[in-house]
Amino acid sequence: MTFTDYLGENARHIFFLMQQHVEAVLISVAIAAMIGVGLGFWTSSRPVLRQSLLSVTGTLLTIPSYALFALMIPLFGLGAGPTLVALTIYGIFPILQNTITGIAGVDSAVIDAARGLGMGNRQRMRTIVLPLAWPVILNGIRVATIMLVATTAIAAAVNGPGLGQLIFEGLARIGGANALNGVVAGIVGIVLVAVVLDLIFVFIAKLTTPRGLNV
Amino acid sequence: MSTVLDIRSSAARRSTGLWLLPAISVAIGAGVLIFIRFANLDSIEARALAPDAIIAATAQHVNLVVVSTIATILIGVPLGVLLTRRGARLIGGPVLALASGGQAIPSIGVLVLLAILFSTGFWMAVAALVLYALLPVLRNTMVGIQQVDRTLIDAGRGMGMTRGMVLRSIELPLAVPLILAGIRVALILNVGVATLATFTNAGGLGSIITTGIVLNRFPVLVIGSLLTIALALLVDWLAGIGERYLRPKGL
Amino acid sequence: MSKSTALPPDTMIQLDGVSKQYPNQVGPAVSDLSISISSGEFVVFVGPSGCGKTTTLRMINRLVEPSEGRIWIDGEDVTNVNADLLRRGIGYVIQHVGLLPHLTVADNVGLVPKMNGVGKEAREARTQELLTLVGLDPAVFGKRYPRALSGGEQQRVGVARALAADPPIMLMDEPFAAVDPIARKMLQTEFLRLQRQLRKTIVFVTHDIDEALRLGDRIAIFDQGCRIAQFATPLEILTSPADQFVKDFVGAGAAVRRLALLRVESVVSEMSAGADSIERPVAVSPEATIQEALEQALDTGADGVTVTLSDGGEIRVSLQRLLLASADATAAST
Repeated sequence: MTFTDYLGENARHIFFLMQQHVEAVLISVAIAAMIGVGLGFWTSSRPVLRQSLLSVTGTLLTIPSYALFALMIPLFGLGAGPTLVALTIYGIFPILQNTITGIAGVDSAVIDAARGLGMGNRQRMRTIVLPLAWPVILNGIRVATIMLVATTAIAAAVNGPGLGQLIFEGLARIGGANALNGVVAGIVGIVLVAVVLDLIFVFIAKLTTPRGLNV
Repeated sequence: MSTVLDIRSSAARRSTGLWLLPAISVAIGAGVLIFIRFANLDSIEARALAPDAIIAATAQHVNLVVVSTIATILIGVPLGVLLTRRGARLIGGPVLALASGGQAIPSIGVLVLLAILFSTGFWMAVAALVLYALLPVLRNTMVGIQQVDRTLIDAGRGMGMTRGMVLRSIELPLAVPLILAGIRVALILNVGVATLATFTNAGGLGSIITTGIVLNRFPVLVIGSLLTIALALLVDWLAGIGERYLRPKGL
Repeated sequence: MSKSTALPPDTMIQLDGVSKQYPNQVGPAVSDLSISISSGEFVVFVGPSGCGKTTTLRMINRLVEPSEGRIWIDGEDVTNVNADLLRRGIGYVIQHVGLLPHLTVADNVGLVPKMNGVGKEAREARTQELLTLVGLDPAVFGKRYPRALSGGEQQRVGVARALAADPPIMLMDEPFAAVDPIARKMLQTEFLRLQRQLRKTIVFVTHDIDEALRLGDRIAIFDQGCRIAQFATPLEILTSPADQFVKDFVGAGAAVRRLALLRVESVVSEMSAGADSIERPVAVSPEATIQEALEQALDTGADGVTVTLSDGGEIRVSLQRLLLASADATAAST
């Protein structure tokens, strides 16, 4: 069967898996963003804690993804549970790192002026630091998303959602008729999801970056 | 921090002190061994976690990582150097962009694709690992050479060094720190992807994990995962040591 | 390799109708430049930024290849020879020194001899000799890495490195510009001392007219059109500037600056004895410049100077007569 025929026959299945893939990524990124950005702001004045957090989450990134997915199984069973938890854990480092960089990158002269005006800490965070750090933070979320799109492919090994299933189905059918088609469809689909999400983020960045920022 | 590679490089650069990683790694390893020795394992678990099985899986895993990393270095560094030479200036950028785009391709996809197109087994897995880990080494080699201070090259040429001497005595030594950093990221990537090599019959610690999942035995699964993590931490630590001690003095 | 027969025998560097046109620039960086530099001469290229002095310097060792013209070094046409070999016979010192950070000071100094195949022991001996020459203790500095050195120390190493193969020519591109003013003064003084000893042919680029006046045997002033406005001794430039540009570039106070070029001894020995009424003289060295003597007088509130000449005689001169005699001396030498 040619590739296009294969696509035609399995369009619904592929599309469904694509949806699953996107959902898994976006949910995990959303949670990771809340944790990452939150921790980033919370430790902005606690350098020691900040460094330890970065070290820990960075170390988590060196853990092979298959191992982390599997480790979650005793706690969360098979399927979406371990997938989402593991993806969230991976997503924290890029977002945390970029939040910290973004906050640090805010010109201290501006903050000083704000303090001179009598702005409190919370107010400064909300009206000055957050908007100015936002482009960098958003970039961190974007990078986390792209990273997780590729990582989600492995979720299928623990019965998780997403286009990885196409790849593993192809693997199971090695030598069979549609093995290659399935795997290629899986790969192309994942790359497509990555590209589209990347573009969406570029769009969001343009929309939400305050005008006047030289980004 | 604008690409996935930057994030991985940044994660590799974090400071964990010289003892923390190996300490955790050894602790996990010891814990696992003690557990295997004293826990009540049923016959299936006992077989999956037999010392020979674990040693064999670890050896396969290390073998995969070492061979593919060496291959990646042998291909990536010379290629990176070539792409920074005068003649290659125009194609350097596009090649790098192409390689960066490839990072969006899932590693399991490359593994399985090569297995279907050619064959399963050790060398195909190595090929997949090399393709995947090529980007960090290639990019860091190129960036490492390009960021060498131009005045140093000017001083070198002014002294009468030929272009080859400048490459050997100035550009390469000063690019070594970045190249080492790239190799470190490649190593970490390779340990991770090698975990999936079990799916294409190339063995590795991933097979213990898979056994645990398929046979529904949590102890096997958890131990497989923990051993993989311990190996990853150990490799990361060794790479960090290499980075620190292989860089030229005075930099 | 053709020899130039039309040049005086001690011409070390000759640029003949040299031009440089960069492909994406309007107008040449250097246009039809001809200049002749004698052996042992200290020539300074000075002028505003971007006027071609560095480009011209770098054409001498062909780090910049001329678009037109010929270059002669020590009587040989080197316009088309192997540039790498040419450069091993020319010392090159740049502003930011360019010490290789991953090599020790000693290794840095020995770079060119190593390229020329000099053996290890000979290299080490030469390195020690050179480091001492530039005022650095080889035992202390030899095994240090560049980043442990101050800017002034790094530049001394840079000079030592350039001298390592004992080249007859030294090209120096704003070598003291990145150093603080006090260290710069010291480096200039020591380099002059070195030059008196070694008698190299030096081409030195700077944008600082005072540095040029202090160091050069002859000065080439580049104007904004990238041409040489005047190529003459410091005294000639101060007394008869070729055009308004040179005058403006040298700046105000040329007359006073001339005083820094005259030695007390040379002025005083020309003077007739006079009955000056001096109440508070200050003693000045015959080696000092008139400017230094003036400063001493102003400092101490003196109204005259006392000089002990080399033949033992002592002269007392009032400030007024000293200055008038200086003015006469500079007028007489133009």
